[in-house]
Amino acid sequence: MSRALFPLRRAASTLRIAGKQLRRDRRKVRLIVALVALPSTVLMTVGTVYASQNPTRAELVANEVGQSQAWIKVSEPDGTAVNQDPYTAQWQGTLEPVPDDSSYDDNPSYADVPSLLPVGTLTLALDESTAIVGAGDLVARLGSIVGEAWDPALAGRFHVESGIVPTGPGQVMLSPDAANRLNAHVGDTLSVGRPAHDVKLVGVLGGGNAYWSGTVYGFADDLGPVDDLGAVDDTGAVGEPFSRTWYLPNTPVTRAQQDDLNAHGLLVFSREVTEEGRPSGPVGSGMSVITNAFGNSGITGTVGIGAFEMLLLAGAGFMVTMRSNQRNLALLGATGAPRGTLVSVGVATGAWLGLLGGVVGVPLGLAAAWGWIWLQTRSGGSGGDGGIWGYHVVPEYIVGTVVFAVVVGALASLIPALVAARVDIVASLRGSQRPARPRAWPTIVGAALAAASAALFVWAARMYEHSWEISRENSYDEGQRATLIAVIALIVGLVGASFAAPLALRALARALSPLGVAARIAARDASRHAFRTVPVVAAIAITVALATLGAVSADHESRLNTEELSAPYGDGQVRLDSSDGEKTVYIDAAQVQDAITSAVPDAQAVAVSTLQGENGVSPDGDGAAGAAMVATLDMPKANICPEWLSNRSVMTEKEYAADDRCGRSDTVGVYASGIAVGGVEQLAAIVGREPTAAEATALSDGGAVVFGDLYVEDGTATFDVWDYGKGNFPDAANAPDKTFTLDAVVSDSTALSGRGFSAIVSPEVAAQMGATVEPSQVLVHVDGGLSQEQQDAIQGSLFRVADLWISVSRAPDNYALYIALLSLGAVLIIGGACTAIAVGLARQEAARDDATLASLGASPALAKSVAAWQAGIVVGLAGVIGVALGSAVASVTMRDVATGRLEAPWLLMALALVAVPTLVAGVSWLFTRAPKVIHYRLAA
Amino acid sequence: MTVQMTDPNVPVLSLRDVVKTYGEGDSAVHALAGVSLDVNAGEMVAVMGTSGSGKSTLLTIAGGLLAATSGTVSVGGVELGRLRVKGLARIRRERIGFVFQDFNLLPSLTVLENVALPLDLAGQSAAGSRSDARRALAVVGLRGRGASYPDDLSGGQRQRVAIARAIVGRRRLVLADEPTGALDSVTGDTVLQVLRERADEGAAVVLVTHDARHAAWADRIVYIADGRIIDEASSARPEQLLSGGAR
Repeated sequence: MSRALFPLRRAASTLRIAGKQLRRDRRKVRLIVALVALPSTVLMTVGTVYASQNPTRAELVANEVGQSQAWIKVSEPDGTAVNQDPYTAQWQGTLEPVPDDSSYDDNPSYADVPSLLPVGTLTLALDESTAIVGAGDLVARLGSIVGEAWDPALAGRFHVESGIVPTGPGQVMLSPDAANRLNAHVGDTLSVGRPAHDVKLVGVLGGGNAYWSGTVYGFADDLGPVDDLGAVDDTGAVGEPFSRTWYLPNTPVTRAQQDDLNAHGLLVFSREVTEEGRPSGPVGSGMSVITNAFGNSGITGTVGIGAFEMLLLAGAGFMVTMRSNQRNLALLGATGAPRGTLVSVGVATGAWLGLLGGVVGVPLGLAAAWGWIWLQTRSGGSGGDGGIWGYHVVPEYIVGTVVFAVVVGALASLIPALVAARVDIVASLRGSQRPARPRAWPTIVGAALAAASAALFVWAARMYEHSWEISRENSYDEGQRATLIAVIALIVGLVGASFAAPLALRALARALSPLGVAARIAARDASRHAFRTVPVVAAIAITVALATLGAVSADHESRLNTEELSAPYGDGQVRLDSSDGEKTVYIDAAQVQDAITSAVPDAQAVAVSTLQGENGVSPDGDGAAGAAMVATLDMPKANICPEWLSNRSVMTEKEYAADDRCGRSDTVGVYASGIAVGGVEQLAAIVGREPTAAEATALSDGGAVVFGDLYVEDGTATFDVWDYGKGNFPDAANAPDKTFTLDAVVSDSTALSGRGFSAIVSPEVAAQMGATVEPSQVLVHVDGGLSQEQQDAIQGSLFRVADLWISVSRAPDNYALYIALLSLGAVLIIGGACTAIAVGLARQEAARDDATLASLGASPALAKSVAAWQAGIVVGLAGVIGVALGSAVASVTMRDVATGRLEAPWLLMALALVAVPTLVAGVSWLFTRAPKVIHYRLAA
Repeated sequence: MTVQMTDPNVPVLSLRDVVKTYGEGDSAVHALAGVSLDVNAGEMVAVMGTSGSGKSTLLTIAGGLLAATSGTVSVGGVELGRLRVKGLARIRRERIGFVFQDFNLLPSLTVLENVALPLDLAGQSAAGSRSDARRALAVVGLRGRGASYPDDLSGGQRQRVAIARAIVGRRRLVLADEPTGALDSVTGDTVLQVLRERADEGAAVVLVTHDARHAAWADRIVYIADGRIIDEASSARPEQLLSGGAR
């Protein structure tokens, strides 16, 4: 064989030796394979689920156009050129100006779109809108598709699930969701429109991108014209639908034609363009699935941290494996293998185990993804609606996962291999190999890195503090830089702690030795086998640091957002505005009150009207759109947060935090809408108690009760009325049409932040103001608060009226505690798993020592105690490192601006620092088996 | 250092018709096939035999590390077969000291801690156990090496530490399994001398060896073959035993 092939022969030989060594050490092999298989499984699962959430080319085309050639929609009614993804038709912005060389007219309307198409093009138009549909006692507002959606040309986009297709007016189909919601069956008579007329349900049509509320399909005679049906129509052009799609059953659209149509503000999906330009796999090429999956920072972070932790644990496992194979390595060395070959054998061992881990992880990941997709499909449907398109297995991803596993295995084994290759061949063969002496340099490096980390933390903290001193609109970048530096400091600190951990372990060993044989043996073992202990400590410390950050962050958020009941405890609120598209439709309050009391007879349902606010222009109310008189409650200039006046974030964080006018939860702006109209009954329903005498007097005397103190000055509140019909909107530059200054009493209610009421005035005062009054909410009260069952009963009853929801004020969720407990749980699970591995490895290496101890008369429980101490030491040390570093990051980024101090759940963290190691130690004690067979291990 | 004596008429170690069988049926191996042996206080008995003859099995059964298939084993009058795991551990802790060919020292503990280990396990005070351990180390000539770790010592020194661990405290029975197997002849003699002195102080010592020269240190030599004691002799004629003349 030529010399050129020598490296190949050596590599093959290395792999062969590594493979043979593995076969002799199956327990450790299983452990390491499991460690590598775990992240591989996660990777494969995430990748497959992600790929399955994206359609293949065939699925995309079928879902978009069925059997037809293309669809066309108006994107920009004014004819502005649109930029779209040529293959998915996703809107990507507009292009200006419209190309001059276009042969088509600018500004197409819905009517002239067909004229832009080649002469003789056959089109099938479907109009989307909404309709009120009733079946028996049930009434629902559904999406509507007007046109022949069941046409064979659209097979694939829609499909008949049951029944037949309509053959003429008077017949409709429902989507499965709609049929389920209305409890309607094929053959039933439905009522549609307002005033209602009867139609027959002839079939159920699946597919399409149905409205969440369900869809009704039929002819224009039944479902149009839309205005007569109370459906949403906001195009402003009489007779034109909310949205129309033209399908081209027979006429292919080329890329050039697509571009031309885009130039007229039309979106186009073309079968021909997509099939020619888009790869057949999900999303794009296989590799793009991977890059897209990793484009998600959450997935990247989770997989990255998980993989790194597994890398550390696998490294610890390799360290034990290498040590037990040291004699074999020494034999290789004695027969002339250079150190490089010994390292290669170690790395090849890692690569083999990685390969095995990958091979195990891929089917596990595929199975997990299949299970996940099965669950998703059951609960959320499939295709474009459910987010899952199919079970998409991407070959490139399988290869990528296996490669990932091999790389993880090889990397994890690298350091153990380098250490093992420094074997003293003679001593090892004699069995007198001495352990490496603790060296000073790792401690020095660790101390240096710890110092660097501390310096970085201080720098980041200073930078963050500085960001409080500059205007808020300019402070973001500096704050981000400080956060980045803090994260770098965290990483440097973790690395430093890992280097310095052997020193800490030696100190622990010294401190714990007097506590008994078990503590002494455990602490010494952890200290002497730092290469095995430290990776596990580091893996747990990372988890603890992140958990600490999570807990402190949640606590910080909960302090910023003071948790208050959004309304009196147990009271319910039903908003009467049903918004769809850009219009608001008010549902009749009496109908809603009836629905509520029919479900819960004890309930008090009080309708509260409001003066027309700027967002509440009603098409069905007395005032037509654009002609309403709108009322606002004005904040006195002295009470306005300075930033609102300048309309820019010009204050510094410190100024903003110190100014009582800024950042308040009971203010909604300079001009507050939501002015309730009513008497004592309405006020009592809003505040959830009997009104005070002052409040009642204010109402009866023509004053106002105001729900935010910043809106009142010197006992008065100012209300403005704006004529939207004249284009007079609330703005400092405009003068209101009318201004009313009323005596005002400030209520201590949270009505403004919770229910959106800024104040309440009597109907007489409202009439003087002359603004439109609309019934806006029905407030529900039951003595003792609404139970969940009562809430469900009311909700069911409301759905019979319209898409209305009741929200009930419950005790605020302790979000911070929830996150803290979640973090604690993560630490327990991950820390426990890591510790189990560490203790397992230690117990494997200690088998002979256990036998010796037994021969000396040690209690069988001694091994259990040693394991418990080992677990406690590992988790305790990792906990201290993790909490310290996590708190350091938090102290940089989450300090209170006003006080400069970090508020955190210190007591919980301190308890966790004691409880978690104790708990893990207890579990380790419980699950460690006392050594039984001892005489074999004592023989030579 | 003296060994606490109970009834001088009761053998420290007594084995009666001890049988040990590994496996079952056709694959059964009879490691011991009815061994009876008494070892009295102050007596050093050498057990000799070829490899696989059952010497080590005899020792592990005598030390309560392995249960006999049948027969009785008594240490200081206490029948080991009647004891549960904790009772056996207590007997080993309080009455038996082991010396192994491979030393079996705990590498993570210092020499002093290794020697004091049986006393620590017995719950003796730290000061007391350290004091006894230092005395035991002095007996084996390792005064001043208590702070070292086993890995810092030579093979001979490690074996002496193992002997110190076996004799520390008041244990009456020392079981030594090829204690000189890994040592040179000079060091081996030193180790044997320590064991001899221990016997002279009143302990019962059982020494497993295949070296007739080492067996000569014993008061009595037991020859074992195929799991049976085939002969006993005083140490005056070990060479004769080894040459097969006694058979």
